Amino acid sequence: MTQNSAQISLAFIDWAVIILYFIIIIGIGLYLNKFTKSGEDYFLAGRKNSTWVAGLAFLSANLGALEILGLSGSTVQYGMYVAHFYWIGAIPAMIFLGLYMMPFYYGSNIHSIPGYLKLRFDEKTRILNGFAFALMTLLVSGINLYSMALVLRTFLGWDWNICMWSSAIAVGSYVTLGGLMSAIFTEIIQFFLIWFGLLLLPILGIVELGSVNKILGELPTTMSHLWSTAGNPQANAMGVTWIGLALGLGFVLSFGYWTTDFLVVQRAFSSKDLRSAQMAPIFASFFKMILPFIVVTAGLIAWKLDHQASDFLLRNANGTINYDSAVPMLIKRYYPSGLIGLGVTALLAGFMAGQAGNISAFNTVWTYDLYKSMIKKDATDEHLVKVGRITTVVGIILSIGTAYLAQSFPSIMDYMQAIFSWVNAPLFATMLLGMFWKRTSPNGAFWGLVIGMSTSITLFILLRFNMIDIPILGISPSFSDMSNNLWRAWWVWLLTFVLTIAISLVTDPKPESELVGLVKGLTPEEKNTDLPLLHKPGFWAVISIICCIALNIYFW
Amino acid sequence: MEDNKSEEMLSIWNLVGIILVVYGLIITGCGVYYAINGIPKIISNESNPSLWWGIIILISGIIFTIFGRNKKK
Repeated sequence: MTQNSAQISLAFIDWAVIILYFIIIIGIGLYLNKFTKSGEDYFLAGRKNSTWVAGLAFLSANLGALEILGLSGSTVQYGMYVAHFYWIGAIPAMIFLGLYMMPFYYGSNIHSIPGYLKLRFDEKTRILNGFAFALMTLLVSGINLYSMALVLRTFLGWDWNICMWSSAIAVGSYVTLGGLMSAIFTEIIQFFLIWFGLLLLPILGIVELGSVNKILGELPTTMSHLWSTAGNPQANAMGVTWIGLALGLGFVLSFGYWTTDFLVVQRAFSSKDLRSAQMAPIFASFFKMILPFIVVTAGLIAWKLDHQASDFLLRNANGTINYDSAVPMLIKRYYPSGLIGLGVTALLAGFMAGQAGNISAFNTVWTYDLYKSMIKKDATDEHLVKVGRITTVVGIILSIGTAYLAQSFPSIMDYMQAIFSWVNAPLFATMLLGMFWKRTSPNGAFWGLVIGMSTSITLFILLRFNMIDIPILGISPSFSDMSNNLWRAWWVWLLTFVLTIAISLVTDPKPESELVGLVKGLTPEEKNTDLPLLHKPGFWAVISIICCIALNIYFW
Repeated sequence: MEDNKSEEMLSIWNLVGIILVVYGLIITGCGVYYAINGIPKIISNESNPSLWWGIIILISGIIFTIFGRNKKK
């Protein structure tokens, strides 16, 4: 794919830093195994985490190396528009989850999102979502594994199979041993490794090149603003309009991902009480907001360096820029031995935590929502933990399979967005109606989801093979893949939303007595009036929104 | 992970602290080595980033270790 001359060579000390990380995470798995006895320990990390632990794990479950490499690369391509993924594409949804949805999720004492669907609607909706989610986690876990092998082979010259199998064995070992707690521990360690391993890149880049404002001043106007060029898709590098950004990214994809993706929400379920669970995503929103200072800044520096000397970034065999090479090439430029090991460890930790997160979510959904509900209804707690451990091993093996499968897809990020829009976009419509409209019926939810998911997959295939025109979806002559993803998500959400309402109106709802604790209006609300201001989730939510608005105005 | 029920379990903050101390020592050690033996040819060589960044990691690790210990009951 790329030239070998671009490879980063590792010294003994770099190897020592990397191998030490593997020893640490296996050691953590062995250590935590002693504390993982019950199903609650294994699948929910014992429900005893503080806001800090749950919040950092919540963010880290989303913060993978795939995202860091992919979005730094996207910054070289789209400029400041990538910051939308961190600000409008995350903060409002995280706040909404914390303030309005968490009370129903946490209060109903469920193990998973499909578990909520069972309580709110019925068994068939749970099983439908359980299967969709299990498949999604396996595909995403495989993509993590595949991307890691791709990056390590391209930049370090490591053998493809050794990369995949060694990381799969490491992740499999510590998740099998310690369950969600192992995944959370390593996610938090990964969080700090990413900051300490990669934050130095933009710092050294700014030291060399001047300031961020200086780099922004040199960017073409199509890449240097957040909103002022979003009126016309031709005026910005991403080819989107503000309405597409707001509806597709800011509303459907973002809310769909952050509020219904069990992988991230599961971290908040591990909190010790409702207030901590509510605070977890709100607290995480502050860290999410500052991530562009690593990711976007690194991308901007790489753009500038590539414009100074047009061979800074790697070129693919067909001469196009390999955007994903931005972070590895910055590591190569700025880091001496030792720091290279730390930078590579941060990326490895990111890939492995991403895979561990998917595998731990897969084992929970399989064990509770599919195995227990369909195969062995009277399973004991001890039996479920055993099934969870076996499921982890099976999940790892299956994700090695999906990793080999992923080799055949042309674009990984596009494929990931497609998977999210198949599962999360329709599910968000179902959840929103389920939590906030008591008339939503089990049949309305089920058929709305079935039709929404089928439509999303059909649209993806039609667009992929150019059987329909993108402007029909986007109401504008915009043709970018990103714009296509945003608009498809919006239409699928709207279809599911309208259909669920229509079918609910002609079918029987659940009796209100069965919806207490699950639907707004039928659930007693905790007012938190006796809490000091600094402990109130609402206070921090307002601060977070103000900071997000200020950043958007500053980079308008 | 941090309350009474699991009092024997090491706090995650202690663990993060210990890992950062170890990595901080390694990176600072590299920085000292480069200060004595000359720095490899990279763009940032004049500032010896291994030394000052290593010290930052080390100090952060020490703070986390102390903070984590204080959190334990």
